[in-house]
Amino acid sequence: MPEQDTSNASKQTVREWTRERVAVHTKHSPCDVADDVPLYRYGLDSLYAVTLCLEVQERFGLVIEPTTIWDNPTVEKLATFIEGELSVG
Amino acid sequence: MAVDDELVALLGNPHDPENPVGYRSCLKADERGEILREGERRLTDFGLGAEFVPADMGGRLRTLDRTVALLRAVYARDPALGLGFGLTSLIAAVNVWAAGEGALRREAADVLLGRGRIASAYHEFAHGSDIAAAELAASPECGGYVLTGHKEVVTNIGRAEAILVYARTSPAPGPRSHSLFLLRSAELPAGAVRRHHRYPSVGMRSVQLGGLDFDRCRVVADRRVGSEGAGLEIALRSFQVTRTVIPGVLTGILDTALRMALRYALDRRLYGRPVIALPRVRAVLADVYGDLLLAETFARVAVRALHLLPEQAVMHAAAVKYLVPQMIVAGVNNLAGLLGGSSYLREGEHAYFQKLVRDVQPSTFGHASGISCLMSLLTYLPAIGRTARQNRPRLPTEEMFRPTAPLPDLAWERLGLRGGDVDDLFMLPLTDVPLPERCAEVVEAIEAERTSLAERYAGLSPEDRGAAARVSAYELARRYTIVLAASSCVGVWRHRTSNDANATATAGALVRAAHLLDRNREMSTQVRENLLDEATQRIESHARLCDPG
Repeated sequence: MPEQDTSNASKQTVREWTRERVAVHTKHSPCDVADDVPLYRYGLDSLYAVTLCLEVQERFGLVIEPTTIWDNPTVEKLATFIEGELSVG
Repeated sequence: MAVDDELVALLGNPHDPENPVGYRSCLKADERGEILREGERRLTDFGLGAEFVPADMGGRLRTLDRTVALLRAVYARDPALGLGFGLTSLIAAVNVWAAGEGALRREAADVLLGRGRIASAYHEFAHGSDIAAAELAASPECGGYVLTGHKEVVTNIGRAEAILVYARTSPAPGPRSHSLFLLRSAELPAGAVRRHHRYPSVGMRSVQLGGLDFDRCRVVADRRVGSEGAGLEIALRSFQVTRTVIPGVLTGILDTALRMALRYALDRRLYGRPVIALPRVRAVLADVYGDLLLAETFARVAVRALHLLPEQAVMHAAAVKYLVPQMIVAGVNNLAGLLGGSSYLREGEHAYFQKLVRDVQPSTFGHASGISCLMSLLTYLPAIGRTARQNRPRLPTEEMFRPTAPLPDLAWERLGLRGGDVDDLFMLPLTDVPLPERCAEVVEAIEAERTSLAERYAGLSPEDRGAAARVSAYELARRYTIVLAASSCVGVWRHRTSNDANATATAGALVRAAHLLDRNREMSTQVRENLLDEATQRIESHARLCDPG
């Protein structure tokens, strides 16, 4: 089951996880992925968004569409979105 | 009664030289590079445009199996007529239906119900299938938009009553930078739009293939289809419908080519015997008939799956749009080899064949190239592979495979881009049902292939997604499409409702699927002779080569 805790530590975890996935897919080091830079700048295209969706489902049990990633196109925004969904339950 | 009986009757006898929509007249229009006016008039009388408008808006579109059957009949007569007056408008309209609510729905419906056409202006030379890079700019200005840029090689753009334009509304890269607009040709401001000449092409010569230059062309905000930035999303959702529909339509070309080749082989004598008596000729004809049956079955099941499993449509659409056009083009080319010089002459008894050879070529690159279809599949295969590896085969609803079973309305809102981790067609049990004679071994080989593919999909590396994937990864995606086609045949066989279901056709199609996976797997003499008997009997009795759904 995904963590329901919305404390700072947990937020950091979701954000770190997101940053790490983006880094893996775009062949960057996680420290080179800034939280507020649009994901497409790192080369994350619409097809990779599909893969990221499935990873979000595997990790957090959340079913999202690639368009959710399009509409939350930075590490910060996507992590916040995932956090929000998890806190709603 | 078949769905297309009325339309076929309206097109008249194809062999009648006096028929203004017979083969001879179609060929003349092609030679002159002119639109087949009488053909368009008859399709208008039939109300073909209404077939593209959902029933709740006053049209006759309920389920797409009917749309495919009708357009297939037009393609079987003349692919250029089918593209120029039919498919193009459907491709454009589907974008508007996929976009959801809005005033432009009514307007698009009225254009089509009022016997008009809609052009679908996506294509720019510089970007091909890479629509996320399209450049034509629609810059927000004074509450509306100003269009500047080009659209190139777009069917009917110079004569359609309405034009759907895909344009960039934000200069930023990324998937939210494009929007769609529905423009009325009569209302385009003079001086702001320049028409291109007709692009000369090898085939489809009686189709108007044009382009437009926009030079600060003002468009009011009400002309936008869907929200700003929704262009790519609407495109990727509506393509799922059109990429599923088009393959079933294209099989009409191979159907006609095979009929002509069979007639040729039956009538012509060489070396003191009918050509059809030559073993090599028999082999080509049987192989192509098997291909036609395989392509037809896969295309039909894919259309049914679109209605029944819309969440999986993004994968099925890419698979069927890759494999079926590939098979159709190869089939027509192989038959041309059989006809030899007769497939090359532009006059005489067999002159229509060279037109088919030319008209069929865009099948593999028009509206999504084969390679771009395989590329999108690669995104989905790792999850599909993992699921297939961990789960037993399972049966989806039998309506998927029963051609006459009623289908639910298309759930546009369920056409997602996510795909998901299950493909029910890929997971179909294959070997737990008694199969037609001589099929068991072939299907076991296909099942073994599927098991091995699932392993390899699960292990695909991230580098093998996207345009730069390795050649070997593209081959894995190609094999996926063949497994889906074979599964479609097994599914249809399993759920056949009468005992006259065609064992010969099923065996022929499955053997050809196995051949696509392994070139060394040739058709046995028995299957070949059964297929040829079946085809000959159907040709002599003026029956269809594929039973209508």
